[in-house]
Amino acid sequence: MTLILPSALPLPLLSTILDTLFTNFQAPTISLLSSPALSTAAAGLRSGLVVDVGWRETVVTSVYEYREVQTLRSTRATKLLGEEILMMLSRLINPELSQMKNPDARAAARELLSFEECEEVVTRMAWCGPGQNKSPPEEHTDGLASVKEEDEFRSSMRSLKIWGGTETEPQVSIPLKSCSPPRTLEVAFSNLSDPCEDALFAKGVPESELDDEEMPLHLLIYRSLLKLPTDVRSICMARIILVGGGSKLPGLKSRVLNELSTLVQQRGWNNVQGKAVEAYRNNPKLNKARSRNFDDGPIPVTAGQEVPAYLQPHDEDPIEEALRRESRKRNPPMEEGSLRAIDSLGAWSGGSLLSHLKVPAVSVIDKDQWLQHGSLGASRGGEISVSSRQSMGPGAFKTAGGGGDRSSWTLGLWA
Amino acid sequence: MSTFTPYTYFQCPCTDSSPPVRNIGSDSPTSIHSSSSEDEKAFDPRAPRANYSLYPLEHLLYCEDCHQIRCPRCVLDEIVTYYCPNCLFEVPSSTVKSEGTRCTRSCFQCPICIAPLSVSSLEAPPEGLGAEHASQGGPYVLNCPHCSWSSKEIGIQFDKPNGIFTQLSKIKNGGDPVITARERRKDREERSRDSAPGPVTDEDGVQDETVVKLDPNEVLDAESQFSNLKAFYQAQLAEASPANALGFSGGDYGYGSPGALSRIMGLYTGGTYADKKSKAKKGTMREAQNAFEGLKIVAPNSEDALIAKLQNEGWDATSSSLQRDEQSTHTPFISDLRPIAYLLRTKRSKRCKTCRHILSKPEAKIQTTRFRIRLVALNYIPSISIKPLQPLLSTQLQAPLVPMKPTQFLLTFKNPLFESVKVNIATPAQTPGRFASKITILCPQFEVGANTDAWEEALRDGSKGVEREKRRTKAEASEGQLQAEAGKVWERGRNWVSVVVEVIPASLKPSPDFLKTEAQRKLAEEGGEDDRVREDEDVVEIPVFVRVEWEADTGGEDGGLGKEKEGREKRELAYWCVLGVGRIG
Ligand SMILES: [Zn+2]
Ligand SMILES: [Zn+2]
Ligand SMILES: [Zn+2]
Ligand SMILES: [Zn+2]
Repeated sequence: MTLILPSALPLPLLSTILDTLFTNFQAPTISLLSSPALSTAAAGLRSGLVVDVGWRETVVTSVYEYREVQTLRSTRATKLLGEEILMMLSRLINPELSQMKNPDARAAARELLSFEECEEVVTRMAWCGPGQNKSPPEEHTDGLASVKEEDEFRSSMRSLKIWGGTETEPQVSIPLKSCSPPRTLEVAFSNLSDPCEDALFAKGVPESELDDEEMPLHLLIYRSLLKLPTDVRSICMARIILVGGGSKLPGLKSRVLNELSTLVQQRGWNNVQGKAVEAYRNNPKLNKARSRNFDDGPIPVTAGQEVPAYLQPHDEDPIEEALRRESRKRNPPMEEGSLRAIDSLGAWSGGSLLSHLKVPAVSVIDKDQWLQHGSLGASRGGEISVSSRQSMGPGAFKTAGGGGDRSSWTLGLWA
Repeated sequence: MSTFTPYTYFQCPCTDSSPPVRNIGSDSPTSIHSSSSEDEKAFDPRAPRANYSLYPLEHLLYCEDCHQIRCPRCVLDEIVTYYCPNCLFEVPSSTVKSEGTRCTRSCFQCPICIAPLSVSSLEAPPEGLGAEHASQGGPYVLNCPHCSWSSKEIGIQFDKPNGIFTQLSKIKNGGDPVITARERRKDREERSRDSAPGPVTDEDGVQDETVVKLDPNEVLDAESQFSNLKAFYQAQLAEASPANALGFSGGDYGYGSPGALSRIMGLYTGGTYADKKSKAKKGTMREAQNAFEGLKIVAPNSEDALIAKLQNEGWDATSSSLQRDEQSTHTPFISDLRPIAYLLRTKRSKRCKTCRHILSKPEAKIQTTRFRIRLVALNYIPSISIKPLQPLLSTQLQAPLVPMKPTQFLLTFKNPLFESVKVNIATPAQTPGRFASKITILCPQFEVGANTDAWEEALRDGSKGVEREKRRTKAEASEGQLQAEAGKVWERGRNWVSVVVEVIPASLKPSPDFLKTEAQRKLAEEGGEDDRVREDEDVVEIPVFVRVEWEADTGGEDGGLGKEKEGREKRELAYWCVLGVGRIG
């Protein structure tokens, strides 16, 4: 039996899950795998920045060589999106809500529509706009974004009336049954992307007013990348993996990439932020290529502008270089330094993939040993040495198999 | 007014014996003292955990070896057969492993309304003489008789009327063929041959199949991404696995062996930098490079078409979340939905978790619903039914309980055993919870007759019936209404006994401040308690502790050849029940 777990699952919870599985489902052994590592493997990658847009929170985990490097979280996720959609719909049903104070309006909105129906609207009709800055994402050597596609995109955007159309906005009708009396709402299609702006991208809220746990998605990803060592960052930024239910929101992936490239363009990978830095950066004498402050509103579209990656130069290390050259002989060069999103099949498919390949996990827990010793029987610190050949790292998968010697075992990440 | 039907739930005793939750951090498990004092307390049917241990009697089994009630939590399930609920074909478990848990014949559910789909021909039905014997030709479609959806709507037709599952797996929505795993493999081999130096050797020599040329930037669907990824990983493992390079001897190090796999797939000895060194030396597995290998790069603006479709076609074109849940991939639009192959079902036998004896075993044949063995608790422990003592007028049928007005209920215990049983029942004086109703059992001890032949009762009926009649008239005469006596059984039959329980329903209004206990007042001051009635708090649920004693044969089973009838054994069974008697109005 294989368990796929979030990497921050508390030990008491894990213990209870294992107790239940061993006593009620009679599994002989249980393997533990971490979901971000599996999402990476299910994308065909060894490293990546896994952005899990879930229900209660969005978790950004950087994975380097199947090992989790760091994790950042934000409450901006699907639950919040649902609440914003509810508010939008309720204001359309009862315009008086717009005049009410926020908590009152929210309580009143909950009386108007059922949760289920609101969720239904979220999954069926919500979408995410491309953002205001429409600088085209970087071209890839693979020739993915061809000129033709770019043109198609523009025309489709024009048809979406996103680019300053003056004609009447297209409407969609949404049948609602849980409000009394049941009715069909006519909603401007663009309205259906507004909740996403508020919920996931904190539109109109200056960054300085946001708490650490309510970072909008693009800032969360940017900050996460910023905290990484340069070489890991350059690998991870070319491997942004959006997973989770929220990642299915149409347009979200492109939007995240757009916002990110804007951020990188404006700020580079500099930890220092603030007015002085902005002033310095925006000084036309010092720098002509940079655009205006992020929070100041629309940024003029500069078509065809290349997004520089602003990577700091590596500290050159001759041995390192030699090793790198050596490994390149064997392996094709790794894509790095550019912004790129990769689709993953998700953690569960990743688990299934590894099971097909019979790849053992770091933590394989034996039923009898668990029932005898519980979590106390595990080797401490996630370290385990098997068959004296190699020691285990706290990585996602087992380092050495070592002919079934399970006399010592570990809870890996979860210890 | 919602209707209320009185109910009786039984608590399986296994909840008490469940192992205490290990206390992480401390070396000792939860102290024994606290758990034993827990046992002595009255069972609270409103405790959050109670829901998981209460069952109607019909849902419980009984282990004859442990002499104990068994609930779904203390039995082990074993799958006897897998079968398709639609065509009732048995599926061998090996096939379930390889093909998955869905029917692979022609059984499908409608993706719109989940009604069973039927195969029909698109050709006009033949007419004239012998029409009923003429077979219709293809092409065929799947049709929904309920909502008249047809697979034609998603551009799918079939050449043959049978084996729909296999045919469907080869067609995408819209009618394009699916590139099969086999074709992908062919293509892969072709490519590796092209890149390999030296003369091309065609081993099998068969080239009749057209090789599909694949695009390295192909937009993969989930299934082909999975199969490409799997092939890629396998190739990487195979490349690096041969028996060289491994430090230890013995064992099988073909790919698939943990030794080889873990060395390649995985990874990590020490720090990042030491690691790079070892990686370079050993040549770890690389990442996927293109769509052939399962890499799927998100093309910029790849979702624009989706958004445009959402805008142009609107709500009606999107699939509901119920419909999406039935699909194996993400299907935002109705046009993405595919017919749902029927999920297989199982027949299971159940074993006692303690002694592993079989408690329930269905007939293996799928068409029958009979059981070979079925030890239901209904045949071993007395059932309890509840009804109000005062005969209700028809208009009063669902009359709620009146607060503070004593109301009497009749509990009828029916004995399924062939021995008479002694029954002891006990309740706390008040129901647990915020609104405490007072409970009095008028007759807590009584004997229930054996479940003997019905004929015997018929023969004896004469005298008994008269007696019952007498009793009732006497009671009615005394006060003009029914009056129960303390310590006496209300009514008695061949294998049943009715006793009276009196309930004084609590008032649902918050008790005035001076009546509140110290603790309650404290709670209220802290704002922890609010006076509103929470969901189902107005239902009077009486916890009842039942103890049943009887004498049973012991020698009955183990071939009591020489043994005389001395093998009488005293048996005892004790458990909590919950009686839901009514809602306070
Ligand atoms: Zn039980
Ligand atoms: Zn079938
Ligand atoms: Zn249908
Ligand atoms: Zn048993």
